[in-house]
Amino acid sequence: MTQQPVIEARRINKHFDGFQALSEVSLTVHQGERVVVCGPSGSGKSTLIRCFNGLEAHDGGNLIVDGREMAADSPHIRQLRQDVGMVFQQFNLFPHLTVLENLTIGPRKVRGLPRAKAEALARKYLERVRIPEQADKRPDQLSGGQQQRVAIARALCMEPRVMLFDEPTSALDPEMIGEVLDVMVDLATSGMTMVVVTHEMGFARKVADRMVFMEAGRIVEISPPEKFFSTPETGRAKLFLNQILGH
Amino acid sequence: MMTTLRRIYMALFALYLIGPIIVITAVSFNAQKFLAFPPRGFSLRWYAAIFVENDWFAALVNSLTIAAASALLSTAIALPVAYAAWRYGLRYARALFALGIAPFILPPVIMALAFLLFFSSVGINGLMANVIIAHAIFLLALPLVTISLGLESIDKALIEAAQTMGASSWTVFRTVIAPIAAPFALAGFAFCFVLSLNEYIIALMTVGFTVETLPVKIFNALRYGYTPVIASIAVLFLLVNITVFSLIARFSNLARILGAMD
Repeated sequence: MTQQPVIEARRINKHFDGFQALSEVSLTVHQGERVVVCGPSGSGKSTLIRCFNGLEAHDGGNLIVDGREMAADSPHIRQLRQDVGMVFQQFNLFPHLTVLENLTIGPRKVRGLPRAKAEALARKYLERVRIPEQADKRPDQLSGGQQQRVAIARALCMEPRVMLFDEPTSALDPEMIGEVLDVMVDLATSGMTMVVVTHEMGFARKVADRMVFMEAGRIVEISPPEKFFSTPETGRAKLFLNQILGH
Repeated sequence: MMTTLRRIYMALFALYLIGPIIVITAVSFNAQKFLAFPPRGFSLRWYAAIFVENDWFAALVNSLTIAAASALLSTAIALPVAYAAWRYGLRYARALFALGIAPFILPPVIMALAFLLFFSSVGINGLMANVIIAHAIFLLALPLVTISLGLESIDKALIEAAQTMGASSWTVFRTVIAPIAAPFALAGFAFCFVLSLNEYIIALMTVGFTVETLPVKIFNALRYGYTPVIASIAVLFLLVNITVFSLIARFSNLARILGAMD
């Protein structure tokens, strides 16, 4: 990886009411890189990526996104967020809008694209997530897997430089996980920079450039997947892998 | 046996509910000059009277104006209060919210007296604005509650989703919050409108002698005899209420507004 870093976290901290969710976390994500973050629940994975687009404000250390300091009160936070797409566990599609409108609202209202351009963009990404025929439906008419694919397309419509995924398959029925992961693999193959919080280790093995293992608000281990899955450095990572792979 | 009993009970219950409506509707089509049931002859003259007789028509216009203005004022006051209480959970917004509910819980006659005393103590008497303000405050609970219900139906994660796409607070409000809450605000407006239209005691005590609303006019008319116009107005009111509630049901979730869980 010789490219420039898109996200650079230097010893960032985050506290919630006295509880330390992140302690001294440092992580650099380069252009075109796919980083998978895993770890037991409550280890700070979600908090970390929520800091990456300013949904949570870190309270110590430095966080540089796209060459600029990210803080919840930074004047360019809205510009930064446009460059950082986010996919949530619960999809969070706008229930009052159709699928197409969900995809065009950001480009139109935030980026100021004319309707026709925004729609062309939306249709392109709906094609990409393989549900062009659902454009005029409402989110509640779609299955969970379809909704999550729409959510991915919605984030892509902002044409971000990096995509964050916060346990994108955790709320899905098992038979729908595959279709979402397929889309994500596709995206990874196309060169998108991605930071993915997930327990889907098959996906991680397939696309990750680096595995990040977190526990109790710290990054315990960062290693390439071949190494991480065969000979993890730390006992904790080994234990975690045994727990989620060993049945 | 049980089913027969149940059917009889349901029939009686329906009759009990719908009986007065049948009687008043029948009476309103009466051709005679007094409230007669069963009606004698058929005529639409009492409906025409509402629009032709100046004092009835003036009362109708007064009532509609007051209802529309007070519903608008009430909704306009409720919107920012409900929004602040929901979005920021501000303590004073919650206190305001509780204050806004209070007038509706107090007996109307107490509120009416309070408004009467207030307006006479500030020396403003008999203006239509008085009853508009009084109704807006009295009925504030309705838009407050409906708008809050609407806002509470919005998952805060939707706001985050919009923010991650770079939306400003104003854009989030305009594109996510307002469209979802709008039908609820409209329902609040409609409830206010209907209740103001039907309200008697506050209208009487604030402006009863200068601005006659329909309910006040009906009551005054009763003292001089039973004109069938009263019946035709009752039917007119009924139609307005049915229309408004059907519209609410059509454009928002009426059952939910009335407190049913979904």
